[in-house]
Amino acid sequence: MSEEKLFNLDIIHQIVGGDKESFIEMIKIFLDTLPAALKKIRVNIENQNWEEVAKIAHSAKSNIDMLEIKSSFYKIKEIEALAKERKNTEKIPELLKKIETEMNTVFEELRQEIK
Amino acid sequence: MGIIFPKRETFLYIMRLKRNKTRLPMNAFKIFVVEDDPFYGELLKRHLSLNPENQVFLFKTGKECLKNMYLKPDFISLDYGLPDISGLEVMKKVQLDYPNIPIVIVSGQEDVKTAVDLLKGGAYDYFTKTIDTKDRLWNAVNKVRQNRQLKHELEELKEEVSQKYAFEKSIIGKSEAIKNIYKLIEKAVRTNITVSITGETGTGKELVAKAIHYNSNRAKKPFIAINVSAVPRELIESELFGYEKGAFTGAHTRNIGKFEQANGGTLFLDEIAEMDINMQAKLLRVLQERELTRIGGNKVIPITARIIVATHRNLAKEVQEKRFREDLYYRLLGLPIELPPLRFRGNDILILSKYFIRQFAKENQMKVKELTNEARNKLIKYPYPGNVRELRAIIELAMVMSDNNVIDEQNIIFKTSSAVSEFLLEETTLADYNRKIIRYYLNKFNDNVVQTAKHLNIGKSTIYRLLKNNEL
Repeated sequence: MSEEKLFNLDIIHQIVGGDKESFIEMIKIFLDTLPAALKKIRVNIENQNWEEVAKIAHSAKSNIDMLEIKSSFYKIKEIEALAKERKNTEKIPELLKKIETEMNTVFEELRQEIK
Repeated sequence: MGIIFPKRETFLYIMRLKRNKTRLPMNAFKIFVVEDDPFYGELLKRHLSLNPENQVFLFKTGKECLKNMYLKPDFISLDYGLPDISGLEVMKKVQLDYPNIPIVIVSGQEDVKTAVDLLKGGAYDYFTKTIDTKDRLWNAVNKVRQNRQLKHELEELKEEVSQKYAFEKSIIGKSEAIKNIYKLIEKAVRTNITVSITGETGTGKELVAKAIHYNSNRAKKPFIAINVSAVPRELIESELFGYEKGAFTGAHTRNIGKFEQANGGTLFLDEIAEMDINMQAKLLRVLQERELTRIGGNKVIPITARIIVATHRNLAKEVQEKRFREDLYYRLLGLPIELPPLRFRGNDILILSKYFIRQFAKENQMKVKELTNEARNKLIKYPYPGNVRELRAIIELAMVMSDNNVIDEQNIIFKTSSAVSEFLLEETTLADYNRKIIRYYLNKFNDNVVQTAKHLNIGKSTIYRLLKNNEL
């Protein structure tokens, strides 16, 4: 694992076992799933649909955890908890913004990985 | 880094499976992964597919999972928070039709109450989604697989044992004498009648008892054997009936007796004639009442075991000579099966010899050897005081002694010390045997004709006549 990177792809490498095609496939699925999930969270925040925010955050959290994107993991975990409790929900948009910024870098670096 | 997969042994296991395709089972182990998140679902699917014996199906909704239940999965990994139906609901629906499929719930919820409710509801396990989930799932799948395999092996072993004692396979022979035994065994198999087996040592009394048990409807229950002559007189009662803790000095724990161990199965009492007369009375009472009490206990325990007894003695004679209780004799007689000595089974000797040759060759990775005509003749003529057991030992020794692909007469070595056996080996006429016997006693009594005649209970004139004709 390179020190500069925000993520760790060991888990994917181990599962695909050196098969380049499968590796690309897995990254593509990640790139299809995560940005869409973040977009959905944003829409639901605007609609103040906290139940849905909690649900999507919960699902996205596991994926972020799999690539060990630590700082985004803690933030999305917080979003899930706040949305679930409907407490301090005003903090949620700011947290999401930070996640989006970090994740955009991740997405870009992942795209580079499969080029 | 918390990632542990692939562990070395797991990796080696997979490599071994990949190398050795013949070890793959006919039916793959089917796993359903029900997960709405595409990345997480794919990750679990690919991870579990690393074992080529697993066939993994990925479904994104509960409905999809239920629709495909006809595929009869062996294991289900179920996401708790599915978009259409909740994981709990899917689990309940699956359990209605397939109560034995292990279902592991995988959820992001770290709620203890949910976990407890799911486990109480019959979930095999409950995992929260963490980086280690895939490994925990892998272990759970392996555990289920191993259990399934063990159950399968147990069934196979049971089948193998009953096959082993299928009586055409275990009791070898085509003589009339052995065909009669088959008929009697068939009768014994169909009922629960007590069976009493008699026969010289080595004729296969225990084999017949096992053949009866493993071909009867008790086959899946225990077969318990006890050799009465091998247990010290003072211990036989506790061996048969068991004892409670503290019943006597040294009874530190409760001990279940053979009668109880054979619950629903068969109790084989070998060498029953050797049972002490006092113990015979106790056994009779237990057999009459069909219930027993452990030594030092009060609880009355019913007996459900079938009884088969065996002896090499003539029980009727034992009764006449007051060594065996008459009432017990009749209680145990049931269906009597008298096993013929091997010397009365004619060509069975050669059939058995070939069987033992094949068996010994198989067990010792040797080639099957042929018997020469001389070896066959030698085997046929011998009287076998030790019966089938002795023949087996003779054949095994011959297989070892033979240096080529045949067993000749030099390889057939009789170890018996019985003078009578040697004597009979001569196979001469009765008149000749008579002369030899008279000569033997004349030598013994220093040619005293009166003493010899008295000992053999024959007339003196017979001996004088033979002497006069130079026939002795």
